[in-house]
Amino acid sequence: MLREGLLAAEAGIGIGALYGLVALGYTLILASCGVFNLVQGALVVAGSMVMLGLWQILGWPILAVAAVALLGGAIVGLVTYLISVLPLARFSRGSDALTEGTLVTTFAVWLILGTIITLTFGNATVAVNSYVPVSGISIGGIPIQPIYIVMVGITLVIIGLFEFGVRRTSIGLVLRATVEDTEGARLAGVSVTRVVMVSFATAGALAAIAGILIAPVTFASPYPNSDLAFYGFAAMAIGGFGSFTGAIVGGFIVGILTNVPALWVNSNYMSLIVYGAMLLVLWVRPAGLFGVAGSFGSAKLREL
Amino acid sequence: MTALLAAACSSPSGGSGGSSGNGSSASINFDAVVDLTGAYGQYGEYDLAGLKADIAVINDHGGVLGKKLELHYLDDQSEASQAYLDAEQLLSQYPATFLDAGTVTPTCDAILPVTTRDKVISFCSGSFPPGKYPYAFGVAPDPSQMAASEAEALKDLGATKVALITDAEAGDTAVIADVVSDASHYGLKVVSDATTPVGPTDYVAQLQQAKSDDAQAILLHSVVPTSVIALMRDLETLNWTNVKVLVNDESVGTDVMENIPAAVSDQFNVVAPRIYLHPKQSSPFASEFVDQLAAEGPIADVGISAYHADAINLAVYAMKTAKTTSNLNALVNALTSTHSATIPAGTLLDFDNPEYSPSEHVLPNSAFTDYWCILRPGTPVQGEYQGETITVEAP
Repeated sequence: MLREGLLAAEAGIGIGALYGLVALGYTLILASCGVFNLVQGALVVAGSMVMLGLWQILGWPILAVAAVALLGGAIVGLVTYLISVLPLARFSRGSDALTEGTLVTTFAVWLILGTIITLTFGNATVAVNSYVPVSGISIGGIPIQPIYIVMVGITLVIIGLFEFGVRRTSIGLVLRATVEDTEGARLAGVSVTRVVMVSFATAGALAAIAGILIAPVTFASPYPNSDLAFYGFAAMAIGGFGSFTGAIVGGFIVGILTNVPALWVNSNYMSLIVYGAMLLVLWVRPAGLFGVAGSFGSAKLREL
Repeated sequence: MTALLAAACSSPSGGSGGSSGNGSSASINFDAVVDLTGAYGQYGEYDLAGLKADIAVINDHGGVLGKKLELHYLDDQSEASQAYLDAEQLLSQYPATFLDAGTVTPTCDAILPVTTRDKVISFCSGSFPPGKYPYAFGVAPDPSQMAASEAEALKDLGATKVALITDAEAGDTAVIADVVSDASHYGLKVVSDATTPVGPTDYVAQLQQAKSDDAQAILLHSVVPTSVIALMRDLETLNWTNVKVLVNDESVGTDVMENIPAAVSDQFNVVAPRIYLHPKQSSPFASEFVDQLAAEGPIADVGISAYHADAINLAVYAMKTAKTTSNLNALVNALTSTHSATIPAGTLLDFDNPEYSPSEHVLPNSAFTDYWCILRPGTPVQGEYQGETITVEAP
């Protein structure tokens, strides 16, 4: 049973990297402008279909496919901002009104994008070949699947880049200033709109890349959209609002919770376990495991 | 939430649909509610292909009692609520004596109250409670009959220790339950019984569990056929070479059968109706039916197409026997007398005689003893796969 548990945990960590990337996108947007953007889940699905179409069917090199996914995800992220946030930002008085209003508009964009994906791609779940060998190294008799090594490795590199960027670069300083004091940043000459646009574009690119990475495991299908969106939210909540590292750790936790208990209980209970754990964490630590009073080292926590 | 909003936003006709004609006194309407989109969408494609092909062949031969058949269908988006609305709309817009209620149990269950209320003879390949719907007739095996076929197939594969893997929402959980409860009767021992999330996922842990329990075969049930490919890949990851994998005929779309990894293809088996072995050879009518399917495009799943086609063939049989296209009592009587009737060979595609009676509207066990086969993966030729027949003990 230990062996099975370790294998399930391995899959959980691998898939958790996906949830972590979704949560990272949520965190970035939420911190920069107080908007909770459900579109992330649909972009992961779109990424998996880009992988099917360009890599598997047309035979493009994997890096070219990744570049297309990055660019496409960024564009969709930007468009999401322009149609669901910017119009409301001009008329909202205060961040609370913006957050409430954009919850509805981003939900609408999420549904629209999901419908477009289904209408374009169809309803079938299509197998996607793996971009790495299926069999790999074995540690203590436990096969370590190369695809999970790639997914986790890339996710850790991304989080490393984010943490470095936010804390050690001028761009990160601008982001932190915007989060800390939007009006102050504006008065100091920071284009807050541009910062938010970059956040949406970056989050979109992250989600699309996640779709590329996970496609050989979950295949190309319109149906994981809801699970990705809501498990990604749970990852963000567990990991901590406003924490990049927390988003990734939360993703791994959600991934493990959706895989390991399935060895002993009916899979229908997985949602109950994940969201129950989320509630438990928030009762004990309302800001999440790594959430602090202030995002990315700033002093204020942007509220939902 | 998504389904509700989608249903609200869909057109009053329930989304895509179609008709093969405008309806007139010179034609007979045959209505169908089909899962063309949504979770069961690919089954709906096979369903519709079978209905269209069958009607084309029948009309080529002059139709029924001097009238042509006209198909009218709507897409229920794999949602029971939409299926209910579609049935209402179809029967209002295209009054019919016969209706195909679809492939899966949830949507069938939503439609049958409508057809019962409106006194419409309906054919369903899902399960329904016996005696509750006097005008409903089954056209596919029930869970106990499918379970018997799977148990026999497992024995034929040389397995006595079996691990079960089911996705958490598989509509055939009743089949799994019957396999588990009747296992000892069939000489099988269920060594593990795991559930997984719906859709392709990582099966390595569940497979390792089965391996640790010395399973000789894996029986997989999933509502998403391509989950089978994910499982076979994970089998390759574990390098578990001496276990057999058995799935049911829901996996026989070409997406699956042509994409089993080569390294594990010898371990993969499907228990399915024998029509997949020689679809054209059972009768001249079957040959024409397959040719008509092929004329519309590559044949994706001749089996599911065939048993929906048999809904029409049963309707035609009833009309010819009762010599009426609209007298409900006479038509029901014709169908419920099949248990004591001799149906001409080649009338039906998937089985010889449904043996319905006034008290039994589902196919009997005797219809399924020589019904099954084991298929191997590969590319079909006009819907035909490689494999061998099996004989199943009636449950």
